[in-house]
Amino acid sequence: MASEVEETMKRIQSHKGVVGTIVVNAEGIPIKSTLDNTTTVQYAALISQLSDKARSVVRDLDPTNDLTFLRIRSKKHEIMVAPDKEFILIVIQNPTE
Amino acid sequence: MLFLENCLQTVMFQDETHEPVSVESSIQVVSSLSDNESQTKACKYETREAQAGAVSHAETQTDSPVPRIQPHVQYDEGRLADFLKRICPKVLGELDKVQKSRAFDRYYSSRVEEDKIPRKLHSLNPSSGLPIECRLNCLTWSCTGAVLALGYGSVNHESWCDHRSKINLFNINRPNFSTTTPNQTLETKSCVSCLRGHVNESSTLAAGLVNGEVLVWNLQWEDDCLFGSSETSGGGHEDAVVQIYWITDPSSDLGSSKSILVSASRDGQLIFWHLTSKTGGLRRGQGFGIPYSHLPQLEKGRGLNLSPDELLPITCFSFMTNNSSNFVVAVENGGLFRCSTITTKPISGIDPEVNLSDPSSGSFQSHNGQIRDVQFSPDQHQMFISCSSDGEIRLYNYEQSSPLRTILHDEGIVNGLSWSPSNSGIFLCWGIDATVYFYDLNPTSLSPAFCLKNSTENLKVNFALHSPQ
Repeated sequence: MASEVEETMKRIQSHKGVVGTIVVNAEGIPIKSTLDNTTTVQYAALISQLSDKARSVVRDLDPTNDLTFLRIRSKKHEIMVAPDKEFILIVIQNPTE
Repeated sequence: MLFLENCLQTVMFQDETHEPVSVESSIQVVSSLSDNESQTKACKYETREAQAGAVSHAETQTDSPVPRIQPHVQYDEGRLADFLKRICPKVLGELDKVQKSRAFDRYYSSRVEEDKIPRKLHSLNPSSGLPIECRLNCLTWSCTGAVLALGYGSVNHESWCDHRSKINLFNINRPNFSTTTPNQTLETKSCVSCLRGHVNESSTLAAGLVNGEVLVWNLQWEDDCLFGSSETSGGGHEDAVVQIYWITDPSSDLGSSKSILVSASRDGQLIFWHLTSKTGGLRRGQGFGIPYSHLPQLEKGRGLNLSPDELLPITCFSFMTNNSSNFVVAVENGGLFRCSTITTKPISGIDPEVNLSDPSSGSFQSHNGQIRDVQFSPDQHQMFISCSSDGEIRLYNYEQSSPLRTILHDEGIVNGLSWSPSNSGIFLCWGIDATVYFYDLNPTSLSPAFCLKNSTENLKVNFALHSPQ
């Protein structure tokens, strides 16, 4: 079980351009991370808030709809958020232009 | 009746005698005393001492606790595994899509030309109280971006500097901010060659002077702001200070981040200064210098007459932004050395009491002219750029000795560089004309992306620094 989790995290982390991977639980507390602690805690808190907001936007517009994926592109990198009922997966990627 | 009573009385009483009864007396027997002595054998005394020959102290101390992710978050491993398994292919698919995405093809994030053309906010012109041949030598912002300090120096220095000079401070946030009168003025005994505000304390300012002194002021103090000076603490420089910088102490613990002042001068020394206690004073810490013997054989003949043990005059230096034990030093005739505070070698011929060591571990390909400025990039930590008097700007990687890129600046001498703190890959440089040039490293362009011209053409741009805001 534990090794499966680690293996999947490693697969994502070793993908091209990925800078960091964070798994956050439903309350916004980071469970697993490949980044340092301060950055992880920051990302966890801010992204889970944003993801909740985005999800409520989608559901308000159409109650039968739901958020599957959230991508934020900034000057320096791209943040990909995959939300779920209990966990949120955050992947930070450096897009090679 | 009376006659009968009397007869009875006379018959009744008779005398009787008894024999005495005696008891033998048992009086105490006279006690007898006899002396009896006993004595132990004489005690033998011996004095013996025991002492441990070798004493060893052992102390342990835990590091200041680095806060870790709370280990007690309850989660179900199984469900986490399921979630990740479910989502992994989708995520990888999305990650791949970024590579092939054409959504942003035409989008050129206009980093250089923002929506607004950079406007000139203020033109500071404090002309009172300055001698005619004075010019603005250096300027620095305080770390919050509220105070701008300008340092002045004289243009002509024939032999030794005996000018008195001053530093003007302008606080742009105060209501009484005026472009002609400084909010505060600090007097110095010599011309100011470099200034730097502290990294996190906005009231601490450091300056290096042409006579080799390093001064630190604490602007919060009312009467005499001078916190400390290298003259009073000893062990200072013997020649003009060319650059000063604040860095976080490379040998400090992970948790605390104390700042120390580093100064370099033309006498070849790079000295760390520690600020002692709140009441003031500078304490000299480690010193570094690069001996003449490090220059490659070919370059030795180029106009420097030094003995092999003398230190090469330093023109500028820069520390790596995330790891302040690595730094780069540029010396007089264009040499550039890779240095570290950890791997140092002793310098021969130097008095062992003087804390001076040789930090260099390799050199980079040197410039053809004098290196004017070196700066490490704030976000790409291994990169630094250097500019020299022959007009070349070179981008180096700290690990490699040959430059990654060379940009030839058309207008000749490049006097200084400054990275943009917000946009990665953008830096500005200035030379002897009245223009500031912006270069963008990310698209491979070798010509300046933007030029900022000063309105009055005959002013030379001596310094330009990005405000921390």
